[in-house]
Amino acid sequence: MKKAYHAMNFACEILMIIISIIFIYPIFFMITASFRSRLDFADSPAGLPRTFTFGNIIEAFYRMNFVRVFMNSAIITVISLIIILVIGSMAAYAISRWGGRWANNIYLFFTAGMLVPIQVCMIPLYKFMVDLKLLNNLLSCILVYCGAWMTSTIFIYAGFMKTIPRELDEAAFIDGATIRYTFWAIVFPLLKPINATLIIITAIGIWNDFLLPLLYLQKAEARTIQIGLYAFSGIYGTDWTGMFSAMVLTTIPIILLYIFLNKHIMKGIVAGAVKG
Amino acid sequence: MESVSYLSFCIPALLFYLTFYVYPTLSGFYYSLTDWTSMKNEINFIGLKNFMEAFGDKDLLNSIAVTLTYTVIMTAFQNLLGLFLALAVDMKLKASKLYKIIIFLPYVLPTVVSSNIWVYIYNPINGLISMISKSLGLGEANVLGNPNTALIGVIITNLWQLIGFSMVIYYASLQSVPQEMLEASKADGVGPWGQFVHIKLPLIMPAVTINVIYSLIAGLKVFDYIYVMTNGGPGNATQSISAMVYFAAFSEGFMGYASAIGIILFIFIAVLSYISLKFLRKREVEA
Repeated sequence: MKKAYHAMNFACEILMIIISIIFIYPIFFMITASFRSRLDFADSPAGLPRTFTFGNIIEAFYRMNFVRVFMNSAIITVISLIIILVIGSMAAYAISRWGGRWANNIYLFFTAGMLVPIQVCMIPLYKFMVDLKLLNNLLSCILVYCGAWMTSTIFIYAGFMKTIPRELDEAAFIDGATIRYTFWAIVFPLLKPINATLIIITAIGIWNDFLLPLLYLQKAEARTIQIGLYAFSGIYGTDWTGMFSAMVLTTIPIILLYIFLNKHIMKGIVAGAVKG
Repeated sequence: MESVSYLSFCIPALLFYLTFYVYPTLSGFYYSLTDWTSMKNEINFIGLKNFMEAFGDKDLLNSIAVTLTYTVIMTAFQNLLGLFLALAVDMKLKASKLYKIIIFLPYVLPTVVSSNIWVYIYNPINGLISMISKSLGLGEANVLGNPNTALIGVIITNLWQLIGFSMVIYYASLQSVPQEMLEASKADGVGPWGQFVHIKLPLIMPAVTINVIYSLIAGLKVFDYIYVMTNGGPGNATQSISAMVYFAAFSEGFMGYASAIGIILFIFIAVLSYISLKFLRKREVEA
């Protein structure tokens, strides 16, 4: 019996090695191809690299206007994230402590939004952005993210608030603290673990989002990193070493983060999904 | 007094949510009842005409078929393979941690990147698939250029990216299976398959619910992969409902009609997730 288990473990080990290679090969291929000379790559795309150059990466860096698109994405992600966490946690706190029918209705009103696909509101939003003269302005995406992410953010925060004992707030109220003071000084510091979860899922979601910036940030100066890469593929799509270099530039910040934080990222994604 | 303070805490969130999500959503419902196009300035109320037209629209029926095929294949394989990988990683293999990290890695990539990697792999001239097919003497393979294989090509890309997500959720859920239960059953001579069917599977049903709902909704809404990889083509072989909404509104300018299709998508999502939620929740048990 014991022997059979060993044989099975060994077989699984081999199988998982093969599966892992299949999963990582496309990424490995993208990275190695971006450092090969055009000639070398064209000669034998699937062969082992025989040249090493930073030329493609540098060229792609300028061609996709990397600093600009990176900064645009960073500004959108950071500002949206801060607003979402602050107003989301405040609302969830009020809903969980307030109690009663009103609080419950507000909660249902927020979470009902989870069912609505962005396809229903993206067309009116386009008109709205034109009317507000916010087309090609980073604010357009920031504002929509802040609205759209409220639904899942409040859902996750409200679930977590239940684990924070009410006695804490009540003790503070008896000492004469206001609700505002109680929230920021006593409750908010206790939200650290759930903040980490939300930062991870929201940051990845906004940084990688494609549809909203595709609609509202078309102009070259306003493009996010994803749209920068998409526009690059429209012009240089057949120059594969160039394409892979632009893709590597787009991916490197995320892969670096993943190498150091993979444990936290996986944990955050699981926590967010299980509660969402 | 207390209520006022609590309400004031909700106001910033309500303001953003109402202005940038609820109001546009309600407008979307309204515009689905209008003849709004980008060609003229006035917008007239036309009742349910867009929906009547939609029922006879062959393109829409095609999109619904494409989307449902996509969703069924995605949901089935993402869950079966994700669960299989979670069970394998849970066997405490020598490099379990590393396998998990590698298989989850594609999940964090932007879709534009993952889609383009696979566009290369599928390209008929020097892509991996075409080279294998040539070396087998089958000639050039143009996965995304062939209406029969394009959708599968997109699905494989999406699976490659999302299987890791299902795997980590199943894996986390498997950690909650009590070790004593497994040991007791082993002492009773229950094999790994029996343990899976009678102990593990019933206990991880909540994770099944979560995973199925997630892949169902992701499948029904699929847009990015299709937009980047095939643009809905060849012909309209990969035109999902979401892609159709986008093209109808922003390429052809039929804003009112596109809004109506968006509403139809919303109804599909609401109904199908409700049915699967009901069906799956019944099968959940307590440990």
